[in-house]
Amino acid sequence: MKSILQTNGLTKVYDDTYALHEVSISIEPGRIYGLIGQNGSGKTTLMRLIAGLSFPTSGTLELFGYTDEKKIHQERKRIGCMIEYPSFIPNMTAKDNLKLHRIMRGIPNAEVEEELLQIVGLEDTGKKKARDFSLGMKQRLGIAIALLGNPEFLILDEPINGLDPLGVVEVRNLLIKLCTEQQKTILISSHNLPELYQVATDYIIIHDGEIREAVTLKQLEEHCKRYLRLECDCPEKLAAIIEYELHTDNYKVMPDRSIRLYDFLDDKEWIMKVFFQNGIIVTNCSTEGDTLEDYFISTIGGAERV
Amino acid sequence: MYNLLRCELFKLRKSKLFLLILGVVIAYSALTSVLRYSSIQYGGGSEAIYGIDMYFEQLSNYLLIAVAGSLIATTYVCMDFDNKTIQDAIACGCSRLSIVLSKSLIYFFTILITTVSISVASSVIISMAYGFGMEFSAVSIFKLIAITLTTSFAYSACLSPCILLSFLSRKPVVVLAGGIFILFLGISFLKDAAQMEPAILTILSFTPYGINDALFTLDAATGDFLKTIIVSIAFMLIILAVTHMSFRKSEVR
Repeated sequence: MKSILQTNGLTKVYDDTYALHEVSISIEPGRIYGLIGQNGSGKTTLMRLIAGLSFPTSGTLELFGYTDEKKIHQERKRIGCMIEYPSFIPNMTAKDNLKLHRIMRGIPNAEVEEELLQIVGLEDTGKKKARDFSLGMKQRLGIAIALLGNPEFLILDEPINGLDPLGVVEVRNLLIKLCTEQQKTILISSHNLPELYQVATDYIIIHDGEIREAVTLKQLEEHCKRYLRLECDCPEKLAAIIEYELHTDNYKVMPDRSIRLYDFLDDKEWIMKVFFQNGIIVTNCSTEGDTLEDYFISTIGGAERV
Repeated sequence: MYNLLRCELFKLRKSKLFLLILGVVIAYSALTSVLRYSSIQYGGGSEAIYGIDMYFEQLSNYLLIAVAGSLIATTYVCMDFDNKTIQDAIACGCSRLSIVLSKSLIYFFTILITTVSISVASSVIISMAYGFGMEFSAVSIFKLIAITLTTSFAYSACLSPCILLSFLSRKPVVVLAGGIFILFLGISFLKDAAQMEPAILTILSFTPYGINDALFTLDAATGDFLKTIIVSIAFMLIILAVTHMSFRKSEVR
């Protein structure tokens, strides 16, 4: 299946400053992409370019297989967006706001308003004006508006900002449900890395307007997995003991002849005893591996840049 | 475009601010009509302002329209940039031209409502003050309606730069300043200057700012109506074209 979105060398310059520099990404259907980056890294600029709110200085953008500007514009009807902060009229109720956006999109079915309010948990707001909503409620309303018209591609900029813990879980479950059950493609930006880790299937790390890395969840897990680094004179024998005595094959022999053991992280004393009883002297046994934050920091160029 | 128009009408129907502006305009118009009538009763005021002239005096209150029109543009266009309705329209595939056109058409519609409200308010005061004893032929009534509608058309053209300013600056204070200071004070200054310099008068006569004065009398001829409508349409088209050109490739934050 062809890509939902593909950018080739997308560049955006504001007053001689690169907001985006040669950004080339590919968004495949039915996946949740987490866009990770610091403030001012270019996340929102990229989203604004996709949504047509801004124009690239150079580079091309392909949306649903189209590169022609007019076609791209038409294809935007298949996108739902919430960029920076939600779009709503403050002196209208949640239902009226949904009605307004429903009319704008030419959706005849009025029942969709109630359905979406229920999905985002705003069905009991009644006549309360949107200006009196909490930040979390405004975010939910923004998500409901983005979901109008059953879009194939959702672009959500910091959607969990201001949500309470329960709201975060609800939005997370909703996004996963939309992706798994309705095969929607979602591009979501967030500062909350652990939260993003629970939702996204793919990660795009952006820094200073440049894409530093695009990895799948599996690759990220590989990078971020905690392990026991074991060193000894005879790694072959150690590997055999791990398999036959510890009954696990969740380990790797590295080129430097050290062994990465991904299990028994909390049972160091016991495994050392097992190795000793089998005649192996382990010279080093340390817990290593990146956390998501560590990995992000190392990808963008080290702690000094944060 | 049709969906955007429906959306704008829905927004207008729900806008308390527009109703407030309309209420203030009607109250101001009614109050000044009452004060004018009272001053005539007590021997003050100009003899020329009497009966139907009171109606034309209210209708030609350009300052009132300029203030109301600028406020409406401020709340209607600038606020939509603030609350991201325009951004959302672009992101969901509405063309920028249709956004400019739908906003402009509904804006002109609000000017029509405002102008008609002023005429209705002053008509009520006149009928209460002078009774229905004033004799109007069917032609005169038809002419009054035509004058009101054509004036509203000319006012829409006069205030169309507010649309341009709103899309360009997106700042309420700039639109208000533009509407009141430039469109009212600037044009008033030019009209005064035209008394001394006929060339300015000639230039003004090709804009909606200089043509509609001829309409404020029951003696207005068909030519005056036609000229007002043609000049207004041409002016609106130019302003809308400039608005679209400036908005077509602009960054929307």
